[in-house]
Amino acid sequence: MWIIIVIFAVGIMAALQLPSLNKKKLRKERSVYLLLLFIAFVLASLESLRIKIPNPLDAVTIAVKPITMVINYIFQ
Amino acid sequence: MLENGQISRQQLFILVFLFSLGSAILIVPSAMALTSKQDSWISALLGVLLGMLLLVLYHSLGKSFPNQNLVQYSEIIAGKFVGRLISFLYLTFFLLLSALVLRNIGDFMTTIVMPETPIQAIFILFMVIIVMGAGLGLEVIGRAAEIFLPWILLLLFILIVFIMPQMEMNRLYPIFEASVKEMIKGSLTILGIPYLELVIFLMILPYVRQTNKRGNAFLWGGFLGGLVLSIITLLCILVLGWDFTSRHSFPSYTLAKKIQVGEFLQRIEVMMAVIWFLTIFFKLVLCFYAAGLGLAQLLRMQTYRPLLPPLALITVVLALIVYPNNVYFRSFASQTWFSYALIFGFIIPITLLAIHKLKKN
Amino acid sequence: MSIRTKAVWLLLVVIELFILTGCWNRRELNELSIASAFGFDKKKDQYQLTVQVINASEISANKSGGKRLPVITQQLAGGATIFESMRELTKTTPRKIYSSHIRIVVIGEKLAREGIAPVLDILSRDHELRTDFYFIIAKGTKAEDILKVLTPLEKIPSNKLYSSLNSAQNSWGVTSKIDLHELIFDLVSKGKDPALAAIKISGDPEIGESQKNLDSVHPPVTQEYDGMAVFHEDRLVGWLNPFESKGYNFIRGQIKSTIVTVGCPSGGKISIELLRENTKVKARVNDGKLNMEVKIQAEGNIGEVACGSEDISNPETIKGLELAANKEIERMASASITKAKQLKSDIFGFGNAVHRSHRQLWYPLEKEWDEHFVHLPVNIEAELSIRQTGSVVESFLQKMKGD
Repeated sequence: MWIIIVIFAVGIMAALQLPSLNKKKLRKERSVYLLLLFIAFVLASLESLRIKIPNPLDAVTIAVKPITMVINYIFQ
Repeated sequence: MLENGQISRQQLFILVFLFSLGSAILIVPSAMALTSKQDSWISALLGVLLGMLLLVLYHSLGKSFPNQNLVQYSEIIAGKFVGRLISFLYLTFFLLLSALVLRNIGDFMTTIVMPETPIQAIFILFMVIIVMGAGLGLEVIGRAAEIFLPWILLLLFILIVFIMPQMEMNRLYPIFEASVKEMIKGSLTILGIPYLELVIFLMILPYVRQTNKRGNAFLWGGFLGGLVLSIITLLCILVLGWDFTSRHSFPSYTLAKKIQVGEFLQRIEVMMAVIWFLTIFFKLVLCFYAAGLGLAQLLRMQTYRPLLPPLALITVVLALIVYPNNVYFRSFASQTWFSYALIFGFIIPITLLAIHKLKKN
Repeated sequence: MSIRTKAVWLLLVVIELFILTGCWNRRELNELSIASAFGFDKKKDQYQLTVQVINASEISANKSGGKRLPVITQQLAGGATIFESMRELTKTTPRKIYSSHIRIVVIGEKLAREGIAPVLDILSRDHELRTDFYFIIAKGTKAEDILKVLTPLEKIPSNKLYSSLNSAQNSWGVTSKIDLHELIFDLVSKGKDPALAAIKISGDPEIGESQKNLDSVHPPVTQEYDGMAVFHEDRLVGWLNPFESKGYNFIRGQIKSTIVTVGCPSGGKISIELLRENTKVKARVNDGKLNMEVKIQAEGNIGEVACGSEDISNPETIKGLELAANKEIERMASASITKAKQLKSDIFGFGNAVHRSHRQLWYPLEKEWDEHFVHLPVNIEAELSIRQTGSVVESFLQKMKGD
């Protein structure tokens, strides 16, 4: 069910916003917009199809591990 | 200019105040009580003092470029490439923070108020309002904050006054049982949420009308926000005891549940939940606004508004995947978040400021 | 706005209409079974849950002569965990149990002796439950039996349990109402053991559960509060009788009002009604030795004079009465301390008092506090002041006998 909502939502966003972007001839804006919309669409579809997306917080946890370890060492 | 609106000093003050309460008011008491037990209110006050130093740092960085925001002057300070990289990292930080805050309100709603409602429904409804708010710009957000502030203050006042009969002074003793080390460790919580997050205001400071005296409003907002957080923590300890506070996911809500004046004034906790909704709304709308505005500035776009709906969808997905469960959340919030926020809230700003000062001399 | 944009907005508004019409999981009153009390027992390895469900249509006042009972008590043995048993109830109840309005939780003696902690976890975890219900222990019987007794003066038996617990504490001071939150607090802190109100059944429980109990002027079966249950950690270890319970409440400072009866020197009794009471518990160290100091301060009026020749109007007599009442209060308090020491259970929270004021001393004692508690000297001092003598000063009894 969620995938239908996702397609629907992305469709509505495009239908509402693309015409005005086109009319104002904002080329760069339009390409950034389409790129973002594409990313959002892919992420949301994957999530609604229950395909596992890697958790960004896991990456953050690993990236800041040195600082965390120093803090834990000071305050252990 | 992407943002033509301007806010007054008073509006800045209110926004900083509400931002520091949002979501922190739900998370902080529990996390504090875990490390410094019945002394966590002292830890909180200590954290507020340390937090004020951070705000001074942000203010002096903002003062060096009174008419530009973080994304704009990081390029000036650190050069085109590094500056843009820094800006990009900040944007991910803002977006991730938006997702975490959204997740907070979703978790709160689904554990306490509407447990069988899918969390997605809450996310979507909340994000629709956020997109509208951020799209209308800073000026509207500022005015909305002015309208809502009295209500939030009134509810906070009701909460504090009516919970007083339930207080037990004994629960505070022994005072200073925690060692200095434990106290400082406890204060890191309140430093991480909200003080290090207030770095977002580096994106907003240039849009304050009177550039000269905005520092006072900024500092006072942060100070009073921290003070309210400390008071809520103190109340949690006095009414619930530190042990209960530390074990509960949302102790400040449990606190509101305890209100019982006679037989007639009780079970008003859902009214109190309005405090969390409103404060979280302002925190989220500012985070999200900063992310959208920053992205548009980074890419030299003429408008940021079209970017908001796709960004909102990304935020919703992020909010869904960031915490597999609330145990993960508790360990992330207590272990990793501070280090992560430290990079963006302290290390980068102070480096930027130092480079700028060196260059000037 | 172009026509196309307008059309999309219109579509959005129409869709919104569908989403915003109602609550996602609303529950109407007629779809709920409102529970008013839970009872927990243990049968072999299984938890047995008893639920008192309100029969809403029989409660309403304008329906006289209803033949059906105002409450239904359902029970079910079954689940290995309590949560499982709760949900298994749906096999026998027509609707899902709604438990936000629980007033009383009764725990059977057998379960209490084995430990009540497992029961508490689910009660504190479930979001539907609030924390404002009270705990009582079924003395010498099962929780199930307590909840089955019908009560003539209150249509809902659990309301009777709740309100008589309230009034017994407020005007008599022999029970103690403890809610979930306080109970968990006591269990977690090392320097205080819990003590809960105890209840027993007088009469034959079989009769108590039928309409017969409601039809009699003098109901053959009643539930009766009887002192308190003493716990060590989460296990029931013994009972306080009403006299000791009163002493316990004096030390805890939980007396709102009670009667202290003292004998007059010339024979007969005088009752003093306490109106205010305030207790200070302090840990003191004398010559490196720890001792507790309990100061009970109370104010009261003379409520009943049933002795011959005492001259109440004489200030000296009042002073004498105050002294006698002080002795009586001290006697009650030390009786409860003696009992608690026998049971090795620090229900007074003396350990916490030590922790609060002498934490350096507390840390080494913490682990074996029960042993230290048994040998802890406690110094009790009561100080009662009599303010009023009721609406008369001298008793007419004195006049009758005097002449």
